[in-house]
Amino acid sequence: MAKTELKLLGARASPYVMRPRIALNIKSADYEFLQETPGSKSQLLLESNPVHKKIPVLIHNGKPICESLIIVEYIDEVWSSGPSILPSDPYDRAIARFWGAYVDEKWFPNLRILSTAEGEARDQVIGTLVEGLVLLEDAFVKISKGKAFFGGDQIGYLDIAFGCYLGWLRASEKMNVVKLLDEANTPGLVKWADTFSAHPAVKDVMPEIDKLVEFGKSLAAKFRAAKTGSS
Amino acid sequence: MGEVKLLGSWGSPFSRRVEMALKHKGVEYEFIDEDLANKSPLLLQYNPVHKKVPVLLHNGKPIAESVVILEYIDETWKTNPIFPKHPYEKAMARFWAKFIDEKCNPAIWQIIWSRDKERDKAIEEAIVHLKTLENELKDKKFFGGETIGVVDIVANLIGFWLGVMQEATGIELVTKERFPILSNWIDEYVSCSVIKENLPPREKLLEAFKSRLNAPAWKY
Repeated sequence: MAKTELKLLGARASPYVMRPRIALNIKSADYEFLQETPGSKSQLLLESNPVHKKIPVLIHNGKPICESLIIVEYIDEVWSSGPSILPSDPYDRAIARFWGAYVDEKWFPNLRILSTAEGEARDQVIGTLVEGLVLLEDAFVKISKGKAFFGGDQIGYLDIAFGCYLGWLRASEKMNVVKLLDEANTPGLVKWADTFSAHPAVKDVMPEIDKLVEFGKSLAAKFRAAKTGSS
Repeated sequence: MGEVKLLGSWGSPFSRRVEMALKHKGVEYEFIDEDLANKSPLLLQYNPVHKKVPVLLHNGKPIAESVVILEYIDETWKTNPIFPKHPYEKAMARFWAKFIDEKCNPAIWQIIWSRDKERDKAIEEAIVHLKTLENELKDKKFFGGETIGVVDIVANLIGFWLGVMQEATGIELVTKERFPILSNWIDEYVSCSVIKENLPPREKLLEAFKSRLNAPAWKY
């Protein structure tokens, strides 16, 4: 049987790269993972994603698809016989996409800021992150309807969209000695986070938290050096 | 196919995107014009997360975020599809819609609201992004091909608002010399009936920009 040519350009530490990997695992699709070297971009990456030059890039039969959530939707549509990733009802799909956009555009940028924030600014960012998580907890309760995942009994689009940030969330909690997800404010998400991370489609592609902490510390150090180095 | 209401604003490109899609598909809806300086309880109730327009209400259920709404509209009302059918082409359409919202439009807004060096920088950035977008257009009449598609709808700021902004500020960003293909597209775009019938009144928009440019710092 001819193997469909399927390659994924990515890196283990990237939450965005996790997304198509989980999707491909859900669909039991075989692919070649091409690890990009941190600090440099391969010729293939520059050719396949000339606009953004970023990972992940899925290359399917020679055609590149970019932007992680767009890749996830593409995978769901092409591997239509596998378990569904997007909900079937248009309204539920809209809600999933709404929160997917929310985590990317509103919530995660604050997690990035946390890594280099200090003093009052740091407290403020933590407050904002927790507020966002409370919103997501509320969404989780409404959307999951008592089941294990946003997608119900199975992992779906929003589990993937938000779950990919868990590695960095936990690393940030360690680096800052703070609890972002906790039993008091976000009990549903606390449980969900564990169930999601242990899921067979997820556990092998979730980066190790200690490695992320190391990586995060070195990024933060570089950032601070650049800040103080500039006039 | 159920009751459709749209919470929007006459001058908002995001709101107009939704109207274009609904009109393109012949969907009847009730338009509720929001005063963005004085948001209604309805808006705050139906979009508590962002408190922004547009919000589509279909049988009382709210959907927010213009591109999310466009996807919903295309999935719910099958006449005159705005997204391509084939998964690869669909992915490309989604990619370019995102590119417009994340790169082109913010750069354009930055030009309008900034001054001096910051403005020069914003102009440079906008040119790069618009060139990339223009490249995607190539020899097609619209981004959607022979008829308008979702990317054309999402590009409405570039298609119409930009011309008004250029007049209000005196800045020439998109000219026939610099962007021959994009300029052609703009001409086709504003002549296309479903688009031109869904644009805000030009004079009113121009006045709004002029007065905001003279007012203190303003958040969109």
